[in-house]
Amino acid sequence: MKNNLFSISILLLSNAMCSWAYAHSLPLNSMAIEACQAKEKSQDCQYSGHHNDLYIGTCQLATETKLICVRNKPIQKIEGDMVKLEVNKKIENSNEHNQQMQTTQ
Amino acid sequence: MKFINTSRLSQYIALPFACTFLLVACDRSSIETENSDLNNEKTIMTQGLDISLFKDEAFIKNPEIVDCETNAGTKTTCYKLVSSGGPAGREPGDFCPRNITDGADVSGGWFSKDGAGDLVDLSGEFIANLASYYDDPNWKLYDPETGKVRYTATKEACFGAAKPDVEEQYKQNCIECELAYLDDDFSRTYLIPTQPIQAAKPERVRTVGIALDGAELAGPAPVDAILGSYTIAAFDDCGGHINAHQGYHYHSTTGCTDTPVSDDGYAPLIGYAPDGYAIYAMLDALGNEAESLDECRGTSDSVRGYHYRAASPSENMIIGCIRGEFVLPEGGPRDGQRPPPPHEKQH
Repeated sequence: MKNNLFSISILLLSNAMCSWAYAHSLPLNSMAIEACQAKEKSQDCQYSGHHNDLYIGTCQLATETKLICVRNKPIQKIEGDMVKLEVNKKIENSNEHNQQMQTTQ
Repeated sequence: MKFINTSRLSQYIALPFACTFLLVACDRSSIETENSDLNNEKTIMTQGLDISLFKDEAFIKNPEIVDCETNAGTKTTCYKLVSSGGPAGREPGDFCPRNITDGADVSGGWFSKDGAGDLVDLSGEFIANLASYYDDPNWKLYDPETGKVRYTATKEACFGAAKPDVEEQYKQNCIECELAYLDDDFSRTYLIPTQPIQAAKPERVRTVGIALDGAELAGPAPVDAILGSYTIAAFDDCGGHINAHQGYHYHSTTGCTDTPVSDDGYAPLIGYAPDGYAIYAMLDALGNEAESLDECRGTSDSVRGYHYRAASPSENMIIGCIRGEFVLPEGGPRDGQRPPPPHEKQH
């Protein structure tokens, strides 16, 4: 169980790092638009900008069809603790999901 | 307003008198009382637009109150505000540097690629380093032999470049325009409800509104198209620039139109949205942002009622959506698309 947890942590941490690296290569506003792909208007969104800034907001229409993440919280710094927090949150979700799956089986 | 800090009962008693006073003395809209669950404010005293807060010469005609109809079909009254298309009390600029040796003191600004924070100085050095800044070797906005910056030095070049579909010959240019390029009879007309009406659902931003100097607070600049054409649509230090159909307009707010910070330390007022709700700066007197904003970047308190808080200069959005009903531009199509630029009529 401990090994599984460790593997999941590493996997999720790698994914998070990759997505940040990708976000950093995008030009201005593209990250905010990217954050709302496959989302609907008013849905929550977040994206990480340069300098480890975290932007949290909701998806709003920039044009008739294009959604953009509009920040409505103060800019936050992504710290090491936040990475752990994110990973733990995803692990918890994953565990809950697995438990549900086991129950239904 | 004295009644704000008294009991709710006294607010109700004072309200009719206050409305009368404000209508007569201040030429401002009546105070709206409405139910809303925004920020747990059961009663929101939303002030309408206050003409007296605009700068002298913000308008080229005396503001008047006219009948109007909102995008939701509500018949109401609106302030009709006509501005010259330029910011009152100052000349726009500087915009593009002329040489890569020019400093920030003779040039304007541009969005930081960080997508937040202050604008970056559009110095000669910035122009010279665009290729590394955007990690794209195709940027060539200056002559490497002379150091001269390529910029739109004529009306024709300005109008050919200052639009989303930049004409081929004006790519690889720093774009700047002058107010003198606008038609002699150029003006901008704003119809803003005298009393804000909360909409059933927020609408997307077509225009953000009007700044206290009479210039437009514009929606997001088409940054992808601008950078994709290897152009920089230079702002002056106030976060605005000029094009043919909007005149001088802001894409960010850097403090040039702010009122002084209010007594309670709240953020300065910068202008009004087309729905009549006020727009305040991002930071308050202590340099803090609002903690809890709605999806439009709006919030509500007992002093100001519902209002917006601007985003940072480099976010390329001042507010997120329009919370109230607004009037579509005169003569414009119902979808809010802009009419053709005035200069196209001349060709």
